[in-house]
Amino acid sequence: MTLTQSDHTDLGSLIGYALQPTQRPGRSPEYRRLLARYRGEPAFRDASDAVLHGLGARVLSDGDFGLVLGVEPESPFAFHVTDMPNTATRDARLLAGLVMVAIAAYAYPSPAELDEERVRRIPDTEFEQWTRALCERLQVVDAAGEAIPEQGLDEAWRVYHEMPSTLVGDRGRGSGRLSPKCTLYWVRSTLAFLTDQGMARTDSVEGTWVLTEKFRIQVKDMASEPAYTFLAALARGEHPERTEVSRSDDRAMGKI
Amino acid sequence: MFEPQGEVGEAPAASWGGEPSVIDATFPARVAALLRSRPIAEASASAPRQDWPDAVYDIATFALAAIDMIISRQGFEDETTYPEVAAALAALAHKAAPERSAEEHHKVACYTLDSLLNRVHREAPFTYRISDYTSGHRQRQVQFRLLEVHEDPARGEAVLHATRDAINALVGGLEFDVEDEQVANELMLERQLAKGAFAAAERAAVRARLLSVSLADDMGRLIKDTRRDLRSVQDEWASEVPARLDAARGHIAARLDSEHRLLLKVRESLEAEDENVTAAAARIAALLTECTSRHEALHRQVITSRGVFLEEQDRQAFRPPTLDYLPDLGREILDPLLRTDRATALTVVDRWISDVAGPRPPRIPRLYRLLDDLWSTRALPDQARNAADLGEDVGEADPPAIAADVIAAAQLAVKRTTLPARLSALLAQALTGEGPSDLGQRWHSARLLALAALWCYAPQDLEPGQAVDSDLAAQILGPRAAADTDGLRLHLPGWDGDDLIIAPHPDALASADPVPVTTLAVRKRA
Repeated sequence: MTLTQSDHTDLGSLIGYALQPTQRPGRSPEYRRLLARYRGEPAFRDASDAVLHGLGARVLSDGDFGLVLGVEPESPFAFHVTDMPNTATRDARLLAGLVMVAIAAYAYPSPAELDEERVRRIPDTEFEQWTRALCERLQVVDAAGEAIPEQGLDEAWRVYHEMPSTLVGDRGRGSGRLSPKCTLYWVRSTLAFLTDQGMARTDSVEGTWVLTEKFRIQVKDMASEPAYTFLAALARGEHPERTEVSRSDDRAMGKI
Repeated sequence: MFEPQGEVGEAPAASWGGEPSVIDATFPARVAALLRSRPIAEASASAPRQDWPDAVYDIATFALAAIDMIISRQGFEDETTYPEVAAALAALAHKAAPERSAEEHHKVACYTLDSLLNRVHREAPFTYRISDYTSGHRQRQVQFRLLEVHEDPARGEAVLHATRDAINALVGGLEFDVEDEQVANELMLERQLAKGAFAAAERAAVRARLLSVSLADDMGRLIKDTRRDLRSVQDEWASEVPARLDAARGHIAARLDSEHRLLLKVRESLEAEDENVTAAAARIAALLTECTSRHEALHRQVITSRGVFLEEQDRQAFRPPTLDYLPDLGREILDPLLRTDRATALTVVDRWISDVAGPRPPRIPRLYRLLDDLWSTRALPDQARNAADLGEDVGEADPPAIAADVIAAAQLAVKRTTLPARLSALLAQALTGEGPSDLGQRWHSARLLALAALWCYAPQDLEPGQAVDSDLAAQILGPRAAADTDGLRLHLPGWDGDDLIIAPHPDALASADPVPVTTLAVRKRA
C-alpha cells in the first residue's frame, strides 16, 4: 500500500498529538482515529515509526493512553533540563532530579511493580520523610564526628539532607509560602512539573498526587536503563563518558 | 466456604490415623481462598480503635457493598471513582447513625475503602503465610489485592477495579471453575423461578453477573498483555488459549441462549398478581439484560483476540528487545545515586529528567509578540519595592528598576559627547549639557553612565536565560563599547575613582587619548 498525501497529513497530526503532553485519545475522537490507524495499519505504522526515528524519537507505548514517545537526548524534541522551572543553579537541578528519581523508587518499590499497570499515589509529606530517612541511613553515625573522605563531603544525598523539611518564608514576596530552601518545596514543585507534563495529577485528598501510566512507561522504558547502566559501570570502577550513557540508535530502531 | 470433611468433625482421633484432609493437594488452596476475606475481617476488627463509637458502623457490610458497587460498573464506560464509592458508603453510614456528623460518616467510608486498598501499607498486596502439609510441612505465602486503582484512559481519572480475588471471594470464597459455576447458577435460577422463589433467584442472578465480569476481565488481561509484550504470554497462547477461546465461544453461545430463555420466563412473571414478585422479576430482568450485554462485550473480545495475536506477532517480530532486566529502582538506582558525588549525580539526574519528561515541542518565537514587546512602554519602577525582597524568590524576573527616560538621557549624553571619551566628559555632559531640567534625573543619568562604564571595564557574562535587553551598558554606550584606564583620577566634584576611557569598540581603545573634564561649568555643544 502506498501512502497518499492525506495519509501523510494523518501521520503528521498523530505525531503532533503525541508531542503534546496533555493530549489524550479519550478526549479527542480525532486522536482516537489516528491512534487506531497506527495500531491497525502496518504501512501507516511503519511510516510513522520511520518519521519518528528521523526525529530521534520512538514509540514506547500505543495503548489507550495515546502514543507515548521516548526521545533521544539528541532529538530536537528532547527536553532540556534547563527548561525545568526554578532550576537555575546546579544544586537546585540536582535536588529536583533526586526528587524525581526518588518518586519513581517510592512508587515502584520492586521491579515487578514497575511492570504493573496501576495508579500509584504520592502523599507529599510522607514521601518527603521517606526520602529523608533514606539519606539519614547514609549518614555515618560516629560520636567523634564524620570522617571526611578524600574527595570531601559532597555526596549527592547531603544536598537533600542539609535542607529542612519545611520552611515557610517570613519576609518579602515569599512570605507565608514554602521557601525554596526546604525539601518539601522541591517535592511539590517536581510533582507540579510532572503534572504539567501529563504524568501526574492531584488526588482528591489534599497534598496527594497520583502518577499516571505515562510516568510509569517513561520510567520503565526510557529512564531506568541509562541510569542503571551508568551507575552499574560506576560501581564496577569504570568512569563512563557522558556519551556512553546515550543509547545507540540501532537499538532503538531495529527494523529500519 | 470451608466444607467440613465429614470424618474430621465426627471422629478426629480415628480420621487422623487414616487420610487427614490437610495432606490433600487442594487443601492449601482452600485455606488461601479463605484468607481472601481476612482483610475485611481485620478492618472490622480494628474499627473500634478508630475515633468513632464502637458497634455503630458495620465495616464488613460497607466493604462488601463497596466491592459490589465497583463490580457493577467495572468494564463499562463509567467506572466508579474513589469519591463516588466513598459518598455511597457515607450515605450508608448516615443511615446507620443519622445523629453522628457527616464528617464522621465520610471518615468511616474512607476507612473502609483504604482498608480494601491496603493504603496503610502503600497499597501493597495483602500478604499472609499459611502452612502446607501436603508433603511434610512448609510455609507458603499468599499474596493478593482486593481493589486496585487504575487510570481511565477516556476520562483521565483514577477509577477503582475489583480484582479477580475480590470477585471470587465475594461469589463464594472458593476457587472454582468459572464456567461450571455459571451453569450451576443458571440451573438454580431456572428452578427458583419455576418455584417462584424470587429472592433466591435474584441472588443467583447477581452471582451470574459477577461471573461474567470475571470472565471478561480474564480475556481483557490476556489481550492487553499480548499487545504489550507478546513474549510474556506466548506460551499461554500456544498451550491454553485456543482451548480457552473455544470454551469461551461455546460458553457465550450457551449463556446468551439460556439467559434469553430465562429472561422470557422472568418477563412472564412480570404479569404476576403479587407486587413483590413483579418487582423482583423486573430487577432480575434488568440484571439479566446487563449480563447479556456483558456476554456480548466478551464475545466481541473473543472474536477479535485471534486477530490481535496475529497482528501483534507481525508487529512485535521486529521490535527491538525491551530491556529484559528491570532494575530495582530503590536499591540499584536511587541508593547508588545518593552515594555518588554531586557532579556525577548531576549527570545522571540530568539524563533522567530529560528521559522522563518525554518530548517537548521546540518553542518558536511569535513575531507579533516580539513586536508587541518592542512597542510597549516600560512601566515605572515601583518606588515602594522592598530592597530586602531582591533575590528572595527564584524564577520571577524583576521589573526594570531604571526609568526609561533616565536611560534616554544617558544615551543622549553619550551621543553629544561622541566616543572615545573620558568618563568625566560623559558625566559633565549628563549633568550640565542638554537634557532634562530635573536635577535629580540628571544625577540618575550620570550614575547610570558611571555604572555602564564600569560594566564595560569589567563585563560579566549574562546568565543563561537572562534577556539581552537587560544589558543596559550595551544600550547606552553601544553594543561593542569597551573601557580602560590609564591611571588618571577623576577630578569632578562629588566623584572619585579612575577617569575611564570609553571607546566605541575595543580596537579604538589603543589610540584613544581623550581630554579629561575637571569642572562642571555649563558648556556649549562642541
